[in-house]
Amino acid sequence: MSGYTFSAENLKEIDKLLKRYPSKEALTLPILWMVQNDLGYLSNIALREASKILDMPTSHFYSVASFYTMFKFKKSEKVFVELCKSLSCELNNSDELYEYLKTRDDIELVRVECLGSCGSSPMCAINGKYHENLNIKKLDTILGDKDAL
Amino acid sequence: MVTIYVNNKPIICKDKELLIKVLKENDIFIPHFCYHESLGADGNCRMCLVEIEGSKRPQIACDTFVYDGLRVHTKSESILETNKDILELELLSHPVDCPTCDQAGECSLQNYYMEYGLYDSRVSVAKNKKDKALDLGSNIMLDQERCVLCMRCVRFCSDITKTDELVVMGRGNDSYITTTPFMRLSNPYAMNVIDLCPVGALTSKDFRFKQRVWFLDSTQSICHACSKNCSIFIDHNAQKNQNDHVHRFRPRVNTMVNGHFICDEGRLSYKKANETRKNDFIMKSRISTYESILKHTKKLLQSENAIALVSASLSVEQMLLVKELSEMYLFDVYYDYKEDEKFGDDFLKSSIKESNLYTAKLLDFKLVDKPYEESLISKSLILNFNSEFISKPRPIEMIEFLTHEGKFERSSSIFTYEYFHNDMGLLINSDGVISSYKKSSKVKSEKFTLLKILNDLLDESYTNESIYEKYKELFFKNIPYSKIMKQSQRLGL
Repeated sequence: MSGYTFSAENLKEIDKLLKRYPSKEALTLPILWMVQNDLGYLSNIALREASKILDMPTSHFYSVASFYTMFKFKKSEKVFVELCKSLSCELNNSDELYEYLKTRDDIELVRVECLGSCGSSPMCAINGKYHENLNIKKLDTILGDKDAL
Repeated sequence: MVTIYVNNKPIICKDKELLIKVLKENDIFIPHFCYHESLGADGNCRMCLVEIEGSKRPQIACDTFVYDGLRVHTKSESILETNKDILELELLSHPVDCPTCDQAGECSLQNYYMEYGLYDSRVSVAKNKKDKALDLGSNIMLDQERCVLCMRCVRFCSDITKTDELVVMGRGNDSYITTTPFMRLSNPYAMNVIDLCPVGALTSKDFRFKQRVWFLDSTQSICHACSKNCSIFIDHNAQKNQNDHVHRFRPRVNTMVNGHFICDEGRLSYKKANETRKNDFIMKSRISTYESILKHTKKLLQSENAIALVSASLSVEQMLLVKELSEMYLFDVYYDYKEDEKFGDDFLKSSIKESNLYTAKLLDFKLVDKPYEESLISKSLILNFNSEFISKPRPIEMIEFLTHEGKFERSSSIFTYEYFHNDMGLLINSDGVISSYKKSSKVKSEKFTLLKILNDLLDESYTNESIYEKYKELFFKNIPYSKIMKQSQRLGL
């Protein structure tokens, strides 16, 4: 397997952040985002490279990344749907959306905590983009148009 | 020094000491999972909550530092209620499979439940399901459902061995311990996590389903796997109509030698204690009796020109009696040892595999080298005291004192004597610390001890104590025997 190298731009960003924070642990999330934005998931090789750069054990990155719902450890071609499970969405029938989304096998579904869009609940993020005031019909249309996602 | 009051009783302790440490040192019962003397505080389990006068809420004892006049309560009604609630949370998703769990009998959850719990489960929803019987490597099995996430094992791998194999994955109710992806638990001290685990989550593949811990007797002993001489407990018992069987070695806390841990190789060296010789005395390849072989040996010692080879793992007392014998019959005593650079490290493993090399040198025994080979030519009798380096250059009379199967079963006369797990003695480790290992009072000896055999050859009746006391001034800086029996003592190099 080939290795993983952080882009020059990212390395520059890491240097900048190292100076900004009192401890290098603070760089864990930024560096995880760098890898995920680059590869679409967190590969073991990339995490090992990150652990070399920050001189922290690989286990630390796994531990932190697995705490959050937005990080993925496997590459997936499927559409990534993050459905809010917090109060406002719940009150506006997000459970119904969940039952519907569960039946679709062309998407990767995660239930997440509040995404800060309560005024337009129920909502979800599809491949990182917010879709608000949803119902099953609207969701179906959005997911049907794969090119627009 | 400051005075604190625990349950209204004054305790004098060092200022700014960790409260939980003070409580434990004074034998005050304080429930806890995550705190461990060797790993320090982590504050994640919340089990050690105590009531502190002047504080609104209960405080964890592992994050409270003592100061003069501190008043702590561990038994008040409100704190008992709090402890019970915390325990109930810890046990929410516990499978309660104590009947099949190896930790039963030495499990903190069980002990605390008996102390604080004694309630019926109020959980009506399904319990969290996690993985069971996961083989992590290094003889360690993980049951994630039994885990209380105290992270002692994770901290051991990150702080002590610095190998970072274990990790907590996930969040909240769904978090679990596992090995870092693409890694196995593999370091020479890995099995210590089994002792560290306060519950039955981490169990030893080697020990599981073998014995119930309450059927085991523990004897204070010393590991003989290398010259570090780590303090251990030998857990053993005799099944009905069977001989005593050793089931495991466990580390015994000794701050002067090994702290809280032992290496995996030493831990698994208990197997050697179950492979000792049967109780037989062999003379000229025939089973003989003790008396006749004793007579035979005495006769040979008087008439023949002897040389002796001792194992550098013999105890101090055994070596002293060999020395006495050598002075009586005027023969030279040699020793040899193995050095395994790959085995040694700067923690608890010494590259010298013999556990009492220090004493062999101290008593002026000679190291096997060329003169030994040369002097063998003129000798007519070899005495071998359990040394594995013995060789037989030509047909020659040989008397062996062995614990295990020897190389020359068919051609030498053999005394079988008790291996260290059923004997007592003193050892000096590679750092010059002298420690004692004890004999279980519950095991009936079937074999003679080497001390008894040597006494019979000398027509003396030394005990472990009297032979040591005789030489303590000459070799052992006058440290009294009784002091070593209580605690290891530093002789210095």
